[in-house]
Amino acid sequence: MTHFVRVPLVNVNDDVMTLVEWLKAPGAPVRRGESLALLESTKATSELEAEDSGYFAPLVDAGLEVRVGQVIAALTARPDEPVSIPVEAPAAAPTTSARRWTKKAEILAKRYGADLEALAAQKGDTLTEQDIEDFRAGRFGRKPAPAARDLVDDVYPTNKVQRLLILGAGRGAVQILDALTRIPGQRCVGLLDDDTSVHGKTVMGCPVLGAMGEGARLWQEHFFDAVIISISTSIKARVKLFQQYTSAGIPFANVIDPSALVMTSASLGTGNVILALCHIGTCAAIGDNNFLSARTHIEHHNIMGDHCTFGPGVFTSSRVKIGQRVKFGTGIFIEPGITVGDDSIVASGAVLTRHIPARTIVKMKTAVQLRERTDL
Amino acid sequence: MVTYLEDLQRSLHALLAEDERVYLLGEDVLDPYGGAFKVVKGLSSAYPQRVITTPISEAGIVGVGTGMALRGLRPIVEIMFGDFITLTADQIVNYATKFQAMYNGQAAVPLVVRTPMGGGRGYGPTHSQSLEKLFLGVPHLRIAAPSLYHAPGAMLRHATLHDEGVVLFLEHKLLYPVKLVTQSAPPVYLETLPGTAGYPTLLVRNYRQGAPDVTVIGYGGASLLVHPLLASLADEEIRLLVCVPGCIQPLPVADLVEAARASRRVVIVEEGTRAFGWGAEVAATLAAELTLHAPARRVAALDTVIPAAKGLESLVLPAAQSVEDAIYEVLA
Repeated sequence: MTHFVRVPLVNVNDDVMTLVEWLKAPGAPVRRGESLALLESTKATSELEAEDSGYFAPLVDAGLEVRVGQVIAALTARPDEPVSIPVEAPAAAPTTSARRWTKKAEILAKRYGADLEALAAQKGDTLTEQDIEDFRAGRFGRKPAPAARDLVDDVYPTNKVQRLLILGAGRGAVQILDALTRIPGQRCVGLLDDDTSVHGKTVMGCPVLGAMGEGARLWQEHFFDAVIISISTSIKARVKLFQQYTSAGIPFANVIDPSALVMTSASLGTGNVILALCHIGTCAAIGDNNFLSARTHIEHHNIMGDHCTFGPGVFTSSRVKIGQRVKFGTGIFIEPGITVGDDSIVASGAVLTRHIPARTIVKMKTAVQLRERTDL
Repeated sequence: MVTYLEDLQRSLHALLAEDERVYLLGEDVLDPYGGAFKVVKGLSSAYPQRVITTPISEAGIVGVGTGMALRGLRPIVEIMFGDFITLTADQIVNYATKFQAMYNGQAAVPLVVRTPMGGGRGYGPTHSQSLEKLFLGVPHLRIAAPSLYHAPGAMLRHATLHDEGVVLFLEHKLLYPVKLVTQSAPPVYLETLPGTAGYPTLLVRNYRQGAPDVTVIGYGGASLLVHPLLASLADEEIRLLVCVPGCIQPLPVADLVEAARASRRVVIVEEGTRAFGWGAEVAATLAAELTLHAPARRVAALDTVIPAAKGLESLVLPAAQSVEDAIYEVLA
């Protein structure tokens, strides 16, 4: 086996020494303990002893400076055996695995009692000081707020146009935005939707700012004045959002298309959407969070609860009572004095001539009959 | 950029060339050896009359230097290893630093005592120490300690030509081959405070804006421990303000207090043993001037002898890791 000869540490002052001369000829047999070379440090010249026996193969020329630890010769088992200088193992490559958090984030998390593991899992990237500060301020994981400062609204706060935040960015929102084009006292400043694919897009020029949960932060930043729910297809969603925002102290607006007629002495709660050509008769009382599609007529002295939705062309006669969370289809007529109970569903085309108990589905049985003309 | 050693060599050549009052005394200072650490290499060839090699007697070297200074010369004496400074104590404590007062201002002793301190080379218990603490508190003795961030040559020049008192001038052994860091380069930003005339205090930051998280105070060779942390901790979002006084006695109190006030979390680094050390004086001085958010931490050598085996030596002397750990402790 080949024995490699390294430069020994002779003097702690010197990391390099001069190889003055080789004391053996290349190929010469060497016995352990014999002198191989003269090495000079800044303090003295010393002989380099062979630590093994073998055939001498110098790898460095005499007269050069050599590093402590450097391989400068080999002692081979057989004469004229080829020798290659052993390659030193490279230093271990630095680990490139992504850090889950910076030291600063770790220190601050400990200081503020944040759960690093949970936050890191939520972020899916290295947690930074900013993330922990966001956590502390209750805005971790939220997208940066759009500028909440308005050059007009904030300077002229009186008589300003009401800024609406619309919940839901679907077709209901389009109907509301369309109505708003004709309402001088209200305008939309943004929409929220849980469908992330629409985030960052705009609806009729209004930005979709994020998920439904963003409203609380935007409210704190005085980004809007009132909120309105545009979803008409799910009463369950309307109820949930209305309760969520109301309990956060966020006010709702009514959005009423200017072509609708709301008669004197009619009363409206809040959060109602009343679209084109609707009519609310005199002395009618409407609750909160109802969605009335175009040409819905709520006659005089009706009483309506909350969270109801109406397809277009629902006509009630006088003194009708509508409960909570009732869903109406399209083209429905209701006789005077009829009561419709809570959580009922009335399908399109129904003509209600009797009271409807709560949790009832009303469907007309009249079938459309088709037959061929024979008179031609 | 020049190394610490080259900067000192150039300054010494310039001093001997410019001013005939400048003499250099020490053991083994003649060429070709040129001193144990080569700081005076080449000087004896250029100025054979004013570079004097001496017998092995540190007390004698400093005594002769004191006499030369009293008589109007500007001597620089070299003590081969800082460990041998103990042998100069009587001359420095009882004579050189007292004459100005004892002779009522009619005598001045502009003497520079240069010596290498510090370990990290495996030189063992009596060639590796940082013994400046033995001289801390000696009245009218200035102790200067240029760091990685100072210009050691300029400081030596000031001590030699412009300081009318005794200056103990500390050079850390590990600094000699190191290239000086005198220019800001991200993420390291340097600021020089006016400090004590001729011995500036350096502020070194690893951030551009805002307040530091931690203030690290250290001198001389401690700069080598702290320097790599500037980049690595910047990466960890920890903002460091490193305050490195060029003069460690008397303390540049205002500089230290202002640096500490910036974060109110302080780590003090020195290579000497911890007990009754420089760090204790700095901590006490800061405590008298301001309230810290966390108790100041001292990083120093263990209170024991320095082993010759390098592995053991590294356990006794402070390491960058100890500084880093202390930084996390004051931040916790």
